[in-house]
Amino acid sequence: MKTVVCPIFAALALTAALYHCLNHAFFKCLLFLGTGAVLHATSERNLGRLGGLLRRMPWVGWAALVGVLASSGLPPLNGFVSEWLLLQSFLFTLGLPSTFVNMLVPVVAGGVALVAALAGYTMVKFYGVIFLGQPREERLAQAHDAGAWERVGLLWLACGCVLLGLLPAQVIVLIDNVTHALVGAGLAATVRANGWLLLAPVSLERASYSPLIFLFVVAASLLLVYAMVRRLYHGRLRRAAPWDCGFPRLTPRMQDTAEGFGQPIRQVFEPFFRMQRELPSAFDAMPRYRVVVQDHFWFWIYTPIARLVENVARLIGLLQRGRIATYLLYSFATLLLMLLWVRR
Amino acid sequence: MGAALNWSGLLSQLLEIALAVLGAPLLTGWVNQCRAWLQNKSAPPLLLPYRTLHKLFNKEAVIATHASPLFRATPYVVFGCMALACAIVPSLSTDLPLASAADAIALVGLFAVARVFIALGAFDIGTAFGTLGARREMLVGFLAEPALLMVLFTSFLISGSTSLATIVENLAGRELAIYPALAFAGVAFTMVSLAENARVPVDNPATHLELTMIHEAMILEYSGRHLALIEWAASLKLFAYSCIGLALFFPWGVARAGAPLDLFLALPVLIVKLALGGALLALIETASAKMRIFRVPEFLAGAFLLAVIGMLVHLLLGA
Repeated sequence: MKTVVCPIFAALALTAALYHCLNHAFFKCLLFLGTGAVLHATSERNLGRLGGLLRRMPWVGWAALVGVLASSGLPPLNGFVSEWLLLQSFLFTLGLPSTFVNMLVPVVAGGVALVAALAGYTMVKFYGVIFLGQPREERLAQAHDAGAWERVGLLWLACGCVLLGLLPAQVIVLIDNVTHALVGAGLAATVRANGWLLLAPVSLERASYSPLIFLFVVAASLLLVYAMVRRLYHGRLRRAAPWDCGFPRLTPRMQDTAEGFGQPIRQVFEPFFRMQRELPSAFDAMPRYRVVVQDHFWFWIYTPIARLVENVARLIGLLQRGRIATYLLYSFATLLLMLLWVRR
Repeated sequence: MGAALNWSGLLSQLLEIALAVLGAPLLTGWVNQCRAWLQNKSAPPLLLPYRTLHKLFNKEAVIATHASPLFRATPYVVFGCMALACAIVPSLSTDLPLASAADAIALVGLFAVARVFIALGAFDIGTAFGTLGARREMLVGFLAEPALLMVLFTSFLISGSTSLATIVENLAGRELAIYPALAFAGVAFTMVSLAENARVPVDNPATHLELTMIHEAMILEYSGRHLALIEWAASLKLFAYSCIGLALFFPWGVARAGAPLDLFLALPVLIVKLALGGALLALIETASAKMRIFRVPEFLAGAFLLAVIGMLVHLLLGA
């Protein structure tokens, strides 16, 4: 058995990883079931033909919102807990024996932060295009909400996301057995010492997080403001056509599509993609836009390998003629060669 | 937690929330006034933001016919997030019971919650402007968030904690010395907060011109009390960011635990610091021009690199 240099750091990082796997199972399932329900209700998988489903399918929409917030790593849901633990484990590794690794670790943490923020971007796109805005097709008005058992399937996963986010101390105590078996240390003792309300994986001075207090304060100030506004002013509300800077002829086609929402990413990270664009001229009466986005690595690594395999297969194909007489000839020739080799 | 629940802690916590919620529009008014002076315009009254809020709260809220509950809930959620953000930043005292509930990483998460909700709210009506604003806001946000975390990492490394209160106690308790790492981080933080608060080189808070706006495009459909709450939350965000900057880079004068009388000193010190910071912000906004949206990634990548340099300086030189 190998010895672990810094068992408590290893336990922290391993807890973060295991916690994230658990979280991922919950919110990914929830999002898959949500998109499945959308597919079932609309028989449509193309983002460009969906939209406005929150009003047609409120159960699926609100459950998917929980999944979206959780997978963007937003507090107080579960995705944030594992992100927080992961960032903490990056920050605590400073006592490592190697200076180089010491310097690399915080920069990698910056990369993790970038990826987490990008996940938020993607999730806003996913949710906004499918569930918000106006329906892009007329037949979406017939979309039906999830049935009773579908709701159960969505709800228990959504509840799992919320509970895993609100009660991290209890979950970490459960994970403790695994980390003890693998690296010989765990966080349960320190976590238990600080009580069930406050999560402090190493010590209170270093870092602490309490999702329940967090949620309580945000919810309390939210409700207080709501009540104060109603009491001091009024709650009058009028519904009208969207304002949109006074533009009257608004159609659902003017909303951002998934491609449009992702356009800044394509622009900023252009060197990382292999992109072909065909843009129409400004005076084109029937404009056609075409963008093909591909991965560089596909052409740098996979296509050459595939071509090599194909060429080798073609060479072998020359031998494979499919006539029994040819195969008998091969066997005979092989036999002769081997006999000659044995004789020599 | 038990030790933190004392009366002076509770008092300073409540005082801080009250100061932030009630005083944040004043900071916005002060920045606007300074900017008008610097640009040779006649300045709006200092209390104009309060009057605007009062006017908006009195007005009837008009929302689109197909707006969902998410659209109506967004202003309250954003306001709640910003109130908690102001509560955990040690602006007056480091003796804050709520500070143990959310450390600096959770604070970054809190800003992200507000951003995601406001972007979803913008998506909800399905207008071209709203989605355009949401798209740009998410772009700026996702580039600013890692830079902000790297700035915070530098201070975590110096003070050995991710709790803002502990960081400030640690930094304020040292003898006066110049930390090169903090200087780099400070410049990076200024750049990030300009972007996050929709200030001039990145966005223009004073314009309703479609092509230049990010934040204003997202909130175009809000009116009445919803708009008032969003405007108020925006000034709370500016207040919170200013207080984070002051706490990390100019932590002197903040009251410590066990010395509640220091609050009487901390309050005027904070007001002076905020007034100077607001004037500096107005100066930056006057001296710089708004840049194209696709120059913003370069600007924020610059902030990220500065923050990384700050951290490497700390790790290499130990300073």
